[in-house]
Amino acid sequence: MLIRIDPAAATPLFEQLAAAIRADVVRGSTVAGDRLPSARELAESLDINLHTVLRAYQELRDEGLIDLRRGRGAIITAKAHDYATLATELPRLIDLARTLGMGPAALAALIREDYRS
Amino acid sequence: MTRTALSRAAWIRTAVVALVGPLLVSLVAAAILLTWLPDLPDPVAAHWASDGRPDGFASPALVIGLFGVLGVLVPVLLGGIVLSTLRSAGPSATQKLLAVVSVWVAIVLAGAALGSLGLQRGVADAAAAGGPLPALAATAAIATAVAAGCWFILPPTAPQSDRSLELPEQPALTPTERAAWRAVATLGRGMLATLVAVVVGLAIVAVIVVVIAPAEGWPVTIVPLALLLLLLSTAVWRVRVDARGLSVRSALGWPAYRIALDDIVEVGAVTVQPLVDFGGWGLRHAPGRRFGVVLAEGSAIEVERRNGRRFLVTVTDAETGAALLRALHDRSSTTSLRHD
Repeated sequence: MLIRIDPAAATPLFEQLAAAIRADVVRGSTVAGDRLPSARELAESLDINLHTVLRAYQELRDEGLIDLRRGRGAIITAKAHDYATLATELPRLIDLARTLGMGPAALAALIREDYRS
Repeated sequence: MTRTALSRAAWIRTAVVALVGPLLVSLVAAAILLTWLPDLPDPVAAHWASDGRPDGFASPALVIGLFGVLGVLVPVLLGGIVLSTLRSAGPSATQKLLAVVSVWVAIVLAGAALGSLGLQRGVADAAAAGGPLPALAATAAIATAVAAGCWFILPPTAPQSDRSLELPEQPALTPTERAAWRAVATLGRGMLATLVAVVVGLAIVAVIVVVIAPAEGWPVTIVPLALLLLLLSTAVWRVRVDARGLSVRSALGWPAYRIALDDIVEVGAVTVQPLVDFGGWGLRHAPGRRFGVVLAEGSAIEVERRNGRRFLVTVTDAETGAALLRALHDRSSTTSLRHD
């Protein structure tokens, strides 16, 4: 599982972290049944606040991607299978955006716009 | 076929040293032992106390049979491993070592059997025969000399074929970025199944021994328990890459290896063939000051440390982990340069 976050970026750290884990599931390198590192361990590893990691985990739990259980840690749920199908769609979308000369922010804004309606 | 490029002569030389030669030694020794059978007492001495007097006896046919089985099994096993893993470039140092060990074991086994039984020919009571220690010492010396000679019969050690893997392109780390990679490395399925079978088998033997002789038998239980502990401590590992460096820790918590970022000189990913490169699985040393947590065939993260030693761990998607470790290492070395 590869996680890269940047405190200097505008997006909040917990969102970046949740996005990184989500991206890992979409890539297929983290699959259903995998256990995420403990929040404390990940906080130490990334040198960020424990509550930032917990908040990211909570967001993923609300989304249904992970199961948080006391003593067992965070386990990726079966929903991960559906995320993997996104992996086939995303590159096509990105390729199309590229040929149109559209940057990642513009594409994201478009998606956000459409998502609401 | 993988051995098309390996010359026929080189392959034959390897086969002779690793398999045919040792097998011949065992078979000739077994044939000699069989011709001695009528002259041997029954039972013969098969085990000796530290002062050289025999303290264990067995039927001569059993001793010869046991020798025959071991004498054939060892060369077939070691020779089989070497020949089946031989690459077109030629044998690795580890393979050459296995080949000469096959020779050494065959000669020592034959010498031990011939030496100990030879002294008992024509002796009515095995208890009166001399100990095999001088014969064993002589055999060990001869075996060592022959095995050393065989090293030079073998084809020259093949230069380590370049099995480094291309690392995936990753955007360079910005100075403020935080990154971590982690993976679980597990012992290969085949190896795991074999070890579990061995532990279960030994546990059954231990239970039988303890039931038959509880007073003397209980130390036997140490063997399966020790092996189980070994299995538990090496079957599953957590591999972590972050700003602190590379950490490889058994799921039990021990053993653990930590290599700090500033202790690293170079990072790469390679493919590993456990038998060819390390002579097996587990915590392994190999030529070239290489040490590895060798769990499965496939990709591995390899680092070179400041003291020239190399450390590697086999793990799936090692390329991604290695790429991040390299990026972290590059960033820390440039920032430390800036501070100097």
